This record gives sequence, structure tokens and C-alpha cells, in this order.
Amino acid sequence: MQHQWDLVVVGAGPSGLNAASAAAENGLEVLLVDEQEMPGGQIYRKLPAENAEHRFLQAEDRKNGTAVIQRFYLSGAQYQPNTTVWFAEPGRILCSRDGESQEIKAQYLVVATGAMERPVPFKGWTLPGVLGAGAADILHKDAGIPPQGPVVIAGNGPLIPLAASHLIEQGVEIAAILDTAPMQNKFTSMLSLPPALRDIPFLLKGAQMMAKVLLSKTKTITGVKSFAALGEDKLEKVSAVTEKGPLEFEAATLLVHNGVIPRTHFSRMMGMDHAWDNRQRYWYPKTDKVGHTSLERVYVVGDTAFVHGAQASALKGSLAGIDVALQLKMIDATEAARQSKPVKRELTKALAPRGFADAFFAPAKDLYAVEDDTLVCRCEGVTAGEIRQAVSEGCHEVNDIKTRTRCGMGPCQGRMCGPALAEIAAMGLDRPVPQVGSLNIRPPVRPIPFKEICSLAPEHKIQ
Amino acid sequence: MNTESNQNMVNVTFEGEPHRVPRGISVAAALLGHVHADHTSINPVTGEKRGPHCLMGVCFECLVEINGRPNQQACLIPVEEGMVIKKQTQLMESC
Repeated sequence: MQHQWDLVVVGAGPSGLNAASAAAENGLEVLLVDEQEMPGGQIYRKLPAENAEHRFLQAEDRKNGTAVIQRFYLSGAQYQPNTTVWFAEPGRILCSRDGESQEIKAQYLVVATGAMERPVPFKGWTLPGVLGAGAADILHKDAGIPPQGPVVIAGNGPLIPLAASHLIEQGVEIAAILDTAPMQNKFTSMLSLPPALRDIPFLLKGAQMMAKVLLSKTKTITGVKSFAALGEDKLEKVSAVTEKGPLEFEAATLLVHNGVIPRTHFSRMMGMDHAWDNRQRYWYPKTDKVGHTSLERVYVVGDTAFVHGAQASALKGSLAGIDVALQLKMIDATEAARQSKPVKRELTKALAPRGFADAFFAPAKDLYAVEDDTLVCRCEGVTAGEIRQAVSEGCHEVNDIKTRTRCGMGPCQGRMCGPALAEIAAMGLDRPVPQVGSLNIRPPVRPIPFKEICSLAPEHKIQ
Repeated sequence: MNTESNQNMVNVTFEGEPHRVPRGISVAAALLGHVHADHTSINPVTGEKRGPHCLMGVCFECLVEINGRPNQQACLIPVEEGMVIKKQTQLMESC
């Protein structure tokens, strides 16, 4: 008989770790599978590595991450690293490790695939040297390497002040910060400030980062309308259109950031119901308060469920883990409520400042007013103009446009172009984004060699 | 990097050139921060030079050939002793 786990968790960020820990602490047999070689996800990436401590610039992040990872190590849950899950349905996953695929059975699944930076096309964004602001953070945590200066940081979102403050601490030359945040964000966010005052440390953390940037006298240009990366075969310059006219900066690295969105390829592939958030302008899988989805015995936790940050993610993970233990009758309702109560209280507190942060960094209305000759699909080389052409010829749904143009058919499977494809189509048709649909995501949700699929036992194959 | 002791470093080659890079870091980090590669692949459709972009496995721009296996995501794979890394350009060459 093939082993069946009580719970399999996909992803070892704070939410996946806590979901696994909470379930295992209640006596469940839990396996956590993860793409990386050690637990931590992106936010706590490489935290358990030797000599990695100095790479975490914020002591508080280091402390929180260490606590979550230690809890997991002590919980009794099993960890399978370096594993790419490429298919999942209620009851099982198919995953690849060391060039071989296997089936893993589980009564319950928790999906904790995290978040990603919102990809927004602009002229030159495919040039080597153009990185995500989050990528700079990962480079630092992974290898202690700062990006090559001079650096231009451009866009609008929470990682802009974070990336800037890190570069200043590391002594990397910042040529300029190009702030594309809509001016009204400063005012509209004030409406959400009162609830945020419940979490003063959170506000202070943000204020400290911004103060560091101000004190460093880094050139910060607000009200930037658009920017572009220029260069022959790699980034050489960054140009910007500002209220005061055009500007140009020499740069070896451009760090771009336009906020953070849930990574939904996995939840889409599984066929979960999703909802559209009109302010943050992203799709997220519908869940109840403990993370249960529209699929039986499948949960989604952490930033995949909605981007609330690491602290909230960890708490959302715990709630799901406790609920799985309740469903499997390892604990009764009274015990589940007792365990959940402090977690829910903490979660309310962690969510208090989100309205303010979300409004402060709300995406601009014309975020996707991409010029016709700009590449949208990086893999297949499809431009915004080709998408608009397809729309004008009668393709009114993103999958039709994909078939017509190949937008979204490359190795990244539409991860980088999917949001822009939908927004550009919706704009062209003057319709809300949900009315142009979303890309069908099919297994394998990550590319694997055909021979791995072929070598699966017949009873493990996808029906 | 002279201060790094031998056991904390591994030997890899990139495009046939030998490089010593810190053990445990990702191939993408090694290529960006130590090898200083201008680009790591050529897009088979557009012919443009490309390099790592997201560093978290989303964008597939860091695809390289590792030990003869093409389509490897450099940002997700740690460097190992003796690793042979090449730019992913063969799709262009075979077209």
C-alpha cells in the first residue's frame, strides 16, 4: 500500500511552515514539500544557512523567521526540499525531485505558494540588468551580494523603501529613486490610518526606512509618469518622464517594483474558485476564515490567499493547520477554538495596518497603459500592439488572445504576462478585468521533461 | 574573495572559463555577483540577450545549461563543485 499522509503542505514560507507545525503538533502525519533546499520561503530565504545571519538586515525579521523555522523543526513534520510540485488534486500531488517524478498521497492539502512581484511591462524591461526589487533582496539573503551600482529604483510599492534602505546600508550607489505612486495615495491612505495606529511598530518600521532614504539625500523623484530601460545588449541608462520633463540616469542595475500579488498558477491549475480585488488589482483564491477553498480538503494560506505580509501569513498557516487537525478528529471543537483564539487575536492585529499600506501603495489607474511596441510576453516576444490588434479583430477573452498571439505560451506559462494581458485587453474593450477571463493553467504547472511524465506508473497518471 | 577559506568555495566553469564562487549560493547569484556575466541566455524567439530578473523561479529568464542539461533555472539551483554552466543559446543555434 502506498503511504498516505494526513497532510501535505506545498511551500515552506511562514504560512506553509506554520500550517505544517500546527497540524504535526496535534499528532498528524505531515509532509512539507518545498522547491528550495531549506525552509524559509522568500521572506526568510536561507535563514537557516550557516553564516547567513548577517544577511538579515532587520533583527526583527531574523527573530520572527527563526522562531517559525524552529517551531517547524520541533513539530515532527517531515521536510522534503528541492522538490517541484507540478500537479495537484484533492488527495494527491505529483512532484519532481532529482530528475524523477513521484506521486504523494494526502488526505488534506495546504497550498502555500506565496506571492510574487506584480509584473508590469515597460520599454526595455527584458534587458539584462533589469531586476525586481524583490530580486535584490533575494540576492542579498541568498549570497550577500548587492546589485551592481549605480542603481536606479523605480515604481511604487512597499519594496521600494525596503530596497533603497538596504542599498544605503550596503553603501551601493543609488542614481535615483523614480516614484510612480499616484499623488492621491498620500491622501486616500489617510482614511485608513486610524486602524493602522493599532500597530505602531509596523508604521515605525516603514517610517524608519523612509527616513533613512531621506537622510541619505538620495535623489528621489516623485510624480514619475513612466520610465524606460535603455541599452544595446544590457542596461546602460534609465530614462523617465516626469512632471518637470524628461530625465536620464546612467545605471548598471534597474530595480523595478509594482507591488506584490498572490502566486495563483497552482491554485488556478487545481481549478479553485478565484475572486478579483479591484483596488489591489489581482486575483486570489476564495477561502473561508481558516483557509479552506472551493475544493474539498484543500486549503490555501499565506500571501497566496491575499497579500497580507509575513506576520499575517504565518498566522493564517496556523489556523489552517489547526482546522485540519479538527477535521481529522485529532482534536475536538473546543480544543481547536482554544488553540485558534490567540492566533485569531494576533491576526486581527497583524491585519490592522494593511488597509493603510494597501492604500498608500495602491497601483496607479494607468499602470498598464503600455506603448504598442513594448514586449508584454517576454518568452514569446508578443507586444502590447499585437494584443490590441487581436482584441480589435474580435478576440475578447484572454485565452483567445493567447491562441492568436502566443502571449503566455512560453516557459514561464504566462506568469510574467498574464496580468498585463488581461489589463490591456480589458482596457481595449472598456470592460472590467474579470470580464476578459484569466489564462487557463494546466499541468504540468512547472515545466518538466516529458520522460518524467511518461515514467509515472499508469495508476499515477493524470486522468 | 581572498578571505574565503577553500572549503567555503567551489570551482565552476561558465562558458569554459573557471571561476571560484562561494558554496551554497544559487547559480544565478554566482553569475550576477561573481562571474559578472553580461547575459545568461538568448531568447529563442526574439534573439535578444537576457539575464536573471526575478530570482525566485517565476520569470524563467535565467535558464542556463548545467552539466549538459538545458532549461535549468539558475536562480533555484545552488552551485556545486565542478559544475559546468553554459549560456542557453543552443535553441538559437539549431534554428
